[in-house]
Amino acid sequence: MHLFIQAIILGVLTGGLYALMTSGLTLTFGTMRIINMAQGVFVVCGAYIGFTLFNYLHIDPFLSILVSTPLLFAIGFTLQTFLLKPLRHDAHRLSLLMTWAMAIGLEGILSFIFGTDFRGILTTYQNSSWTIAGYEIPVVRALAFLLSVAILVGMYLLLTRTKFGRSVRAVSQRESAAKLLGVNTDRTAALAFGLGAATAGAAGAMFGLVSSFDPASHYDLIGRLLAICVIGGLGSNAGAIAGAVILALSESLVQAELSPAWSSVPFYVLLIIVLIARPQGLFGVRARGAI
Amino acid sequence: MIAALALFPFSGAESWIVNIGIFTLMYAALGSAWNLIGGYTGYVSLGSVAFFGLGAYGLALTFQHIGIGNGFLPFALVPIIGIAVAIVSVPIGWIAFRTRGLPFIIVTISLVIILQYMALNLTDITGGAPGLQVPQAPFPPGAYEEYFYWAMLGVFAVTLLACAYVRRSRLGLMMFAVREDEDKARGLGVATSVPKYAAFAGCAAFSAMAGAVWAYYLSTVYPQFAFDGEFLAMGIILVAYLGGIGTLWGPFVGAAILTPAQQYFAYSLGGSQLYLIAYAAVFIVVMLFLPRGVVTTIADRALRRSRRRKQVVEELATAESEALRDAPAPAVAR
Amino acid sequence: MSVDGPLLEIDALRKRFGGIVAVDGCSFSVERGSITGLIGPNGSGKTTVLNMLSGYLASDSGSIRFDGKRVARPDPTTMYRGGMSRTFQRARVLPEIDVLDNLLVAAPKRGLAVWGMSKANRATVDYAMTLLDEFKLTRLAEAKAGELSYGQQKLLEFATVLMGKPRLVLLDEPTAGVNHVMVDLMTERIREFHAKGLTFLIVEHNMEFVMSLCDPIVVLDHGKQLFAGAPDDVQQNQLVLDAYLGD
Ligand SMILES: Nc1ncnc2c1ncn2[C@@H]1O[C@H](COP(=O)(O)OP(=O)(O)OP(=O)(O)O)[C@@H](O)[C@H]1O
Ligand SMILES: [Mg+2]
Repeated sequence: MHLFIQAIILGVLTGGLYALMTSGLTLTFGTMRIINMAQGVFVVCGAYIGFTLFNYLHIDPFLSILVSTPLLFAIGFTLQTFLLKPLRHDAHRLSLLMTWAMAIGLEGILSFIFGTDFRGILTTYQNSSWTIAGYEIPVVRALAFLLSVAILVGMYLLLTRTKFGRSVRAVSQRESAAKLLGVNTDRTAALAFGLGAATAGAAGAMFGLVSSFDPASHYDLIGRLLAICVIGGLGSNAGAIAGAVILALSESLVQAELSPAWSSVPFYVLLIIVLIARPQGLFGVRARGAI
Repeated sequence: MIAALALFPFSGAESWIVNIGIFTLMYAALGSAWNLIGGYTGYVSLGSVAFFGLGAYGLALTFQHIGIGNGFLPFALVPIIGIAVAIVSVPIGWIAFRTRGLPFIIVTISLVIILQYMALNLTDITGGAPGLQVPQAPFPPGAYEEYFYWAMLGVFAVTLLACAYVRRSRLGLMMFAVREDEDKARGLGVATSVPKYAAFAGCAAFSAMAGAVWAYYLSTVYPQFAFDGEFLAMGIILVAYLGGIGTLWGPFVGAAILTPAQQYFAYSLGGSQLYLIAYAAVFIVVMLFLPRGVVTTIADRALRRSRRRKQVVEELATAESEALRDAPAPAVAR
Repeated sequence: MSVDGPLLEIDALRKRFGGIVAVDGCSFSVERGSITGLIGPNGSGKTTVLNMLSGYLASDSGSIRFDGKRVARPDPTTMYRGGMSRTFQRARVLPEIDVLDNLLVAAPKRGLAVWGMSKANRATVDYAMTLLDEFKLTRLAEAKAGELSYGQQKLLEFATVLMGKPRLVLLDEPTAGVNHVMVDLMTERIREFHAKGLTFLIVEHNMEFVMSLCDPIVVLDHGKQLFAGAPDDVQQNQLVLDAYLGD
């Protein structure tokens, strides 16, 4: 029982971080109707930024978020402007390939700069944890969780309370209508893509703290993020959070109770069950049939 | 065309060139198989690789458990593996087809990840990360490549034949209808699951056949290569896009351009980081400058110049203007 | 096949979308051999009724009887094969395939015939060509359907649903966005097929068109049947006028 609750605590803490990564994916899907296959590599970029700042300038990884976030925003904004916006014909499907090309290219660039060895950000508080009521709460994960939640709340406010948020929602609802209302859809898309990358940048620095990574880690990451989206319902923010927590929970439970090698199995089993029982995802809405 | 391709090894080409030929034909077969589901039916699937891998493992496992000799007999096994994987693909399709559009893409990506994961972890069956060995074929060194070249050509030819059949048959018409507007098609009495499953299973069968030949050729299978979601999965689609999706020869043209280029990069840049960058760059250039594909672009040009086409455009214009001449068309009240 | 009784009967059909009740206990019937009009202000639920009839939407409650038999769970494919076909308010054709193929798709074919080597047999192609001729689309047979003008697409969609030799055709605003010549052509074709025994249920806003063609006319308001009767009665009915002028 103790182990069980301990695993739940760990799962929820990690889930927050995945939720942050996925929220960016949801945002780009909502505004541009594309799957951003580069979200995983954006996270890894954030991790390397944290790693570099920590190793060479001794900046605390949590502080490096202040650098990785705007940097990834700039990268995302630029990539969208030069590589995605020009796609006109069959843009939805081509973007899939284009973002994948970005992922592979960035993986190449990262390997070029940092090599292909596994890295980790090893802080002094790496292994310390608080003990509350007999349960261990690792400091790194707890902080990462809190920060992720804070950023998610910030994103929520940004999307519901600001003019930019209104444009994003207008574009997600219907692009043609948004154009009529005078929303600059191209700019909104670029900002949204940048913002999506920025969430990955923030999450990345923390991801580097909780697990080791190499440039190819993005492949594994994007697989998880996409599966989270399907479970939660593509385009749903609540779904992204629920999916992320389910993923992290199931992994940490199996890791604790069974064996690490099989930690991903229940999640994929769940994915299949959700697809069979509720293909639109837990929080998704069924697409309209007629009209 | 196929005959010309069949004669290619006799041109005295060196074995490394034949090797590139095999690789090209493999991509052409995979791209054409993908065309069935992605090009004609409009369901972008990244699952081809999953079936490619199943075919490769299928061959290796047959070798392990049933002695099938190692001469030409394994080639006879290839179609059987294709059929078996097609059968396996049906329940998978049942799950995947509960979604469409982008979620369908994600589900097929998940399929590849799940299979790779299983291949890595079911060590008793799959040998885990190192994979399985397949006995090397006892062909004479000089001609070793050639037999595999012809085998792969056979797979490609069969795939192409299937595509040609689809393009002029009722089944293909149903696939097109699903691609254009699935819901509308349902309202026209089209039993949409027939073309969907046919395309999915067909793609699975031909991809598996290519995988089986490839595994025998390399005489080894391991998860990273069999279920390569990173390069092969996207490479297949890129080949189809570069050639022109939904065209008969597009995937072949795409493969003929891309595969030698890829091999060249791999050869000159090694497996290094630069290879990744170059690969991405090729990807980006294709997407930006040839999004409609070589074959489609050329066909469009030719069509625009052809008389038949001009006639259609003129007919369109006259039909419109005739209608308008007779009536100044006051906006009809809605 | 029962010969008496209405061809289509709907009873207490309901559909709600979240907060709005789009169709609220709607009941009416379509007599054999009639051209029934279905009119009502914007948003009164006409399209939603058609969507439920043709199996594109599941109703919340109520029943549908087609040709005397209750249809428990309508589904687009079976409804079409059963002899009821429809067009859409915003014309839907298969844009990237050519006009003739658009018709051939709709030819009923089942079982092993699907796996044949050709797209359709001679007789089917001939019938499709006849339809194209009647709709003045013959010259465009090889054009892609998406290249046609909107009016031509509406004609094509109408022609397409006739391929299945239906007994009842539901048309959702056949004249919206179509110029006069094509409206006349459409009217002619409706009359002609009607003369051959086909039954129509037509949703329209174009009153001139409805009044000259349809009898009886069913008026829908807020998802309910408000009135049903001959064109003259509809025009004089106070309730109908109120509904259109807004209350
Ligand atoms: N899929 C849907 N989801 C939510 N609301 C819907 C949906 N379809 C229709 N509605 C709503 O139901 C009501 C009835 O719509 P419907 O399209 O049936 O009206 P209509 O009579 O066809 O109108 P029009 O003359 O404008 O075509 C409207 O308020 C509409 O907004
Ligand atoms: Mg309507």
